[in-house]
Amino acid sequence: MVYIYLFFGGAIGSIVRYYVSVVGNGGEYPLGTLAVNLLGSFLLGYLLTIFPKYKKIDPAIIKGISTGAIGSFTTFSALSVELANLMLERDYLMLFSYLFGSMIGGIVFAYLGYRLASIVGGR
Amino acid sequence: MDIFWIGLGGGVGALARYIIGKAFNSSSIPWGTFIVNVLGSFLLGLMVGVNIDNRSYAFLGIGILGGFTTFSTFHVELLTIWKDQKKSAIFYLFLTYITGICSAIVGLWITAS
Repeated sequence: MVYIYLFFGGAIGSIVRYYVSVVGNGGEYPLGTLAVNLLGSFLLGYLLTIFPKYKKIDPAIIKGISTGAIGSFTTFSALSVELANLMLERDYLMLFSYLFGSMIGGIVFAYLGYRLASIVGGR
Repeated sequence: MDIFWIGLGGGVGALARYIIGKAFNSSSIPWGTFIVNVLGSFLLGLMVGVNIDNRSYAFLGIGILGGFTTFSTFHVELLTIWKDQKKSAIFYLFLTYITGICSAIVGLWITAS
């Protein structure tokens, strides 16, 4: 059963990513990829903190949402290739701002999600 | 129509990522996540270098490789590791980014040249 949830979660996450990144990646800076990655990190930090408090939810559904949908909503391969292209084009300002924006932003957003869940679901 | 292929690919990619994660994510460094991210970066680099048609790219690139690799799981893992092993977290962070970018460059080079 977990495989079915993972499959559909992954399918939905990828489709939503496609729509968000098509809108965001219009300009030179790959803002769409950055947007899905930061938003996804926030959501995953939040959900993985809040889920253990709901013991009635089927663990397979939790896997489908977290590993499946949110995991596929965000992407690392597109980020690597975008960074690789910036490096090959020697666009170092863009390269380092995008690189550090993703690195630090990803950690900060995951932490904010975790903090929000701790406050909202605080016991 | 592309949406169907992106969804199908994303589902397959997520399943493959889960299986690899289950097999390798046991130690303090989640090697399963590392493998999918680095391998996916290399394969996407290869794919961008060759000019494939839009539908194949939607299925293989945006769907399968987009769903196979993950940014959110990677960064949440970093937070978790940071709590008790700061050095491992920093090592995992830089290792993934450096290896990921290098793999993408190698992929691009192989097919673009």
